[in-house]
Amino acid sequence: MPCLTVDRLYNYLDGALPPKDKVEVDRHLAECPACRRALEVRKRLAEAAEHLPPFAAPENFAACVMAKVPAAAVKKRRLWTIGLPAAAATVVAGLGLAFLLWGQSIVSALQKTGAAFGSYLQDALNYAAKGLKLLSLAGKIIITVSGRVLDTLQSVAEMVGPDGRAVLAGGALVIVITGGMLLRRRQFLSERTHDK
Amino acid sequence: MVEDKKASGLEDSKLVRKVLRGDRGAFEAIIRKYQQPMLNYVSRMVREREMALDVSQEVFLRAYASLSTYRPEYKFSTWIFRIASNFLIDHWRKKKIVAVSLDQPVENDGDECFLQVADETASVVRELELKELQASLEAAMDRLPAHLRELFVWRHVNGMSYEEMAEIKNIPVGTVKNRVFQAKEMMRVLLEESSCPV
Repeated sequence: MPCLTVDRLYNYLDGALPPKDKVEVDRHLAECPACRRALEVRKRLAEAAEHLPPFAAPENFAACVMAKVPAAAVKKRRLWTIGLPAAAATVVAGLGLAFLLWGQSIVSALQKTGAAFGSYLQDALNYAAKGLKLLSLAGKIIITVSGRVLDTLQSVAEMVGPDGRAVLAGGALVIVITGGMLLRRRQFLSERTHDK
Repeated sequence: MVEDKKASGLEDSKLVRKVLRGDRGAFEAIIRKYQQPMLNYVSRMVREREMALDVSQEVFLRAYASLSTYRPEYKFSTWIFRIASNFLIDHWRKKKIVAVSLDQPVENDGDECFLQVADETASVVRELELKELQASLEAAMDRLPAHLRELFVWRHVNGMSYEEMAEIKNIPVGTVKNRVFQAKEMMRVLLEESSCPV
C-alpha cells in the first residue's frame, strides 16, 4: 500500500474510514515510520486545538445583552390570536351600548350610513367586474340583517324601560369581559398543551 | 451523547416558545447557554476582545429580533451560528475587508488536501510543549483565510459535526470536510514555518 494521502489520514483520525480501509491503514502505519509521524503530528495539533483555553466571558455578559433587549416582547403572532377577537368584541359591545343608550337615533344613523355605503358601492360597481357585485349583495344583506337585529333590540329596549336598559347594558358589558377572559384562558391552555 | 443533543434541542424549542410568549428570563437562559460557544467562535474571528463582545452581543440581539422566524424543526445552535456567520460577513463587508471572506464560493475548493503525506523531517508540532503549541496555534489561526478559520474553529474549538457546519453554511458536507482538512494542513504548514527549524 502506498503512503497515506492527507484526506485518508484525516478520515482515519475522524474514524470515518470503512472497516476494511481502516485495517489497511493500520497495517501500513505499522510498517511506515513517516506516516506514523505524520499521523502523530496531526493528532497532536487537533488535540491542542480542542483544548484551547475558552474566551473568558464577563460574568455580566447575559445581563448586558438583556439590558439592550427591547422591553416589548416578540408578540407578532399574539396580535392575531387575541387582538382581533378583542377588537371585534369591543366594537360589538360598543354598538350594543350605543343602541341601548340612544335608541332609535343610532338605528337611523346606521341605516343612513348603510344606504350611503350601498349607493357608493353601486356607483363603484359600474366600473368593477362581476365579482364586486357579490360584495354589494353581501353588504346589503349585512345592512338588512343588522337593521332587523337592531329593530329587535329596540323593541326589547322599549319593553324593559329605562331601568331595564341600564341592566341590559351592564349585562352586555359583563358578557364581553367574561368572553375576553375565556378567550385568553383558552389560548393559555393551548400554549400549555404545546409545551408538553 | 445523541440523546443529550436531542434533549438540548427540545429544551431550546421550549425556551424559544417561552420567549415568544413574552418571558424575557427564557431568553436570558438562551444567552447563558450559548454565550461561551459563541464567544469562543467570535473571538477567534475578530480577535479584539471588546469587538468580540460587541459582535456576540449584537448576534444575540439579532436572534431575539428574529426569533419568531425560527423553525423548531431545525437545531437552535445551527440557527444562531448562522446568524453569527452572516453578521460577520456583513460586518467585514461594511468595513470593506476584502481579504477575509467567509462566503468563499464552493467551486474554489481544490485538491490541495489530497497530496501525499511527506513528513520525513522533525516537526515543531511534536517538539513544543502544549501551552507553547496552543499559543503558536492561536497565532497561526490569525493567518488562515477567514472561510477556513471559521470551519477550523467550529470543528475543533466548538466541536461541531461536519453535518452541522454544512447546514449552517448551506454547502455540501463533502465541501465542508475538504475545507476543514485544508484548514488543518494550512495550520500545520504555518506552524512549521513560523517556528525555528529543528
